[in-house]
Amino acid sequence: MIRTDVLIIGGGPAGLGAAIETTNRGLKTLLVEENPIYGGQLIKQTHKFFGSHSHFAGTRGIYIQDELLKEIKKEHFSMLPGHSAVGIYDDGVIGIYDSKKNRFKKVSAKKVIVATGASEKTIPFKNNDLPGIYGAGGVQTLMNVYGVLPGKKILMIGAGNIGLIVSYQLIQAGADVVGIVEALPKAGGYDVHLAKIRRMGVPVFFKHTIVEAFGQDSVEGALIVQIDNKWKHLNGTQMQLECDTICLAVGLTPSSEILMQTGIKMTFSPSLGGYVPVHNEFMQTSSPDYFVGGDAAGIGEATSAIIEGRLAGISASDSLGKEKNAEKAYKEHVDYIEKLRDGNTGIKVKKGKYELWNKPWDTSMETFEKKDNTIKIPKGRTKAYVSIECYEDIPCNPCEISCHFKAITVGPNITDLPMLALEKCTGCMSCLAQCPGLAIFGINKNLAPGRTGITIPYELLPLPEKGDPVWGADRDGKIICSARVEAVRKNKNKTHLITISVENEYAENVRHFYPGASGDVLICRCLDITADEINDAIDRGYTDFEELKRYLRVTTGPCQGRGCRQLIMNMIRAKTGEDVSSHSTGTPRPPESALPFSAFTKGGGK
Amino acid sequence: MRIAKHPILDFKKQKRIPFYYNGEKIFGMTGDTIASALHDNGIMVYRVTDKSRKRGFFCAIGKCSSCMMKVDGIPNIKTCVTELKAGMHIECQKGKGSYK
Ligand SMILES: Cc1cc2nc3c(=O)[nH]c(=O)nc-3n(C[C@H](O)[C@H](O)[C@H](O)COP(=O)(O)OP(=O)(O)OC[C@H]3O[C@@H](n4cnc5c(N)ncnc54)[C@H](O)[C@@H]3O)c2cc1C
Ligand code: FES
Repeated sequence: MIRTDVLIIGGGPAGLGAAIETTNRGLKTLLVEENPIYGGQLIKQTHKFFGSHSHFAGTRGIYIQDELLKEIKKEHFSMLPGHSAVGIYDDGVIGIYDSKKNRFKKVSAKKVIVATGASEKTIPFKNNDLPGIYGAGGVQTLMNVYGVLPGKKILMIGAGNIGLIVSYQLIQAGADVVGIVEALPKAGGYDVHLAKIRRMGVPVFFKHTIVEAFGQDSVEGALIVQIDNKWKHLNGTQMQLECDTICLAVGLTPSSEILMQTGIKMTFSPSLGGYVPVHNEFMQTSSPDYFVGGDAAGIGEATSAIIEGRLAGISASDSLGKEKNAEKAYKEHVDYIEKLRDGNTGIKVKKGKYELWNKPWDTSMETFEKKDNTIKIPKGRTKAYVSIECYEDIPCNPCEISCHFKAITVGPNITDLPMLALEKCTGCMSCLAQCPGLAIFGINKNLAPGRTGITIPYELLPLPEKGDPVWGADRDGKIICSARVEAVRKNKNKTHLITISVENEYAENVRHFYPGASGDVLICRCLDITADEINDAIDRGYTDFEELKRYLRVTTGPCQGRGCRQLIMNMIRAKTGEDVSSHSTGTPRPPESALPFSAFTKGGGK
Repeated sequence: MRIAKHPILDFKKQKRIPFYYNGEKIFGMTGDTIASALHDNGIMVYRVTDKSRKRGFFCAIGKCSSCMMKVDGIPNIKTCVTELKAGMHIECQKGKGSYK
């Protein structure tokens, strides 16, 4: 029997958060984590987190677990990776399974904190068990942990944050997302996540659902259909899409089955994602021995999972007499979590929790005054500036912190929109690389006469190089003009800044680019002579066909000018404006097409 | 298919290790699970159920049991959370699996 003061089940952000509090109060703490790697969902999250800068916002998920681990007091801590808690028995003993050694072990703990996270929901459709259909978490694990691409052409089901983020990650890993299917008329995920994948040209099929998957041994395609607001399929709108992978991102549900074995009170809460253990504001369940935190206590996000975990840790310590000023210890965390859940995006969870706590709910809490953060750019502005395209009250403030000139203000309510003081913005573009939503762009109207520089935060490969020709795309990913890469600023955090230039009239709309083909326009194929070489020669004064022929040797190859004569004449006309019909087009000489010399010797001619 | 280059992640270079799938020798990498190695080799069907439905992996974190295969003669091994070891014999599992 392993004996400990506190057992924490689950090594995600909530479990690690709890361990910080219990170990720092001198409690002997054991953490069991089913996976060989700790970190829970964090280990797959390559994107920068939202929330407050003081709580890891702007840091990529994959680095957060190490930051948390640093705060845990090691002398009171032991961790068993590859161990799952498989049962809590009537006598309070917890059974754990060591998957590596294939051995069952027993733990006796004074307090248990359950931070087991969530499991993914699925939806019914024909052949939904076909290989190639994966949960979004499965796709993330395969590509971001093991480095294996799930497929080449992916159909995503669900436009919540997970569907949108995983789509983006798939594109980063080199896959093609053929579309996102969403039953609702709008995306459930953050606007900025949607904007990010839209400008990369991923089509989003709103008010659609998947009907069937087809394929022999694995997915070869899917049939989707439009639905009305009663979810009825609308005939005639069926559409077949070719894909080799279908990724389901249709929601998470709390995974606290193990707590059900203890007989604690459970409740069903749609706002929290399903069955959750009844718990108070400080994460104690209906039993004084069990605590819960993170997604297991209601689907939320990682920042609130850390805080809930910490609260659970403080509560457990308090119940063991290890916290002298619990009130004060709780307050900081409770206040922050309240702030996180302000704004339209967090209110659902807040409401679910208030119901659980029997806290009075005032419907006025559901309406938020949204500031207007659009700004007018004065005509005479020549200095570069940033365009902050963040119009939703999500909890996030790294932009404010990143600005050295205090030109961006979010303020104490981190769900407030960022406001730009244009007069203070120097156009330094530091904020672009810090914004987790990649929603800030740099605008420089003074780049070159007639051209605007647009700086885009970019996290794809390959990185372009200065001078590369590219295609400018609008917010829907549609190509609208040609563009040129003017600067590539590499950043340590791997959000690089690419400045492209476009003609002024496209400046308001270009927010993405696709690599253009590098290479030349060939005019004379026989002798490898390019349009640039010919134009250059014309500019230097060789404005007559005969001159060009002598200078560049165009039309003297084996095809005798069949391919290029006309093109060259057109080029001279275009450059000089001259009527070239009177120009000599050279004298073609026999043989009219290439013959072997032996043909002449054998033929006996002279 | 392995991700060769990633804009954010650096995948450490791993050693190639041999293993057997239905008797045929193929290769995975150190650090792979059985499932990730099979997927990289283009093998998607991990078992065939009693009702003849083909199954691959689904959740990749050991929760759904979709990925159970016969590993070194033992059936019902969750291959998505079982580390690949050199020389392992992996077989596509039929039905609920057997020791034969
Ligand atoms: C694609 C995606 C993107 C996201 N993006 C963001 C974001 O930008 N910002 C943000 O704040 N949040 C984000 N989240 C949400 C966030 O990751 C989760 O809310 C958070 O990880 C929940 O933490 P947790 O500790 O409760 O659970 P988890 O991180 O899921 O950890 C639970 C751990 O418990 C282990 N476990 C489960 N059962 C057992 C058992 N019986 N025995 C032992 N161990 C067990 C699991 O293996 C797991 O490691 C995202 C989630 C996803 C899926
Ligand atoms: S794929 Fe779900 S358990 Fe392995």
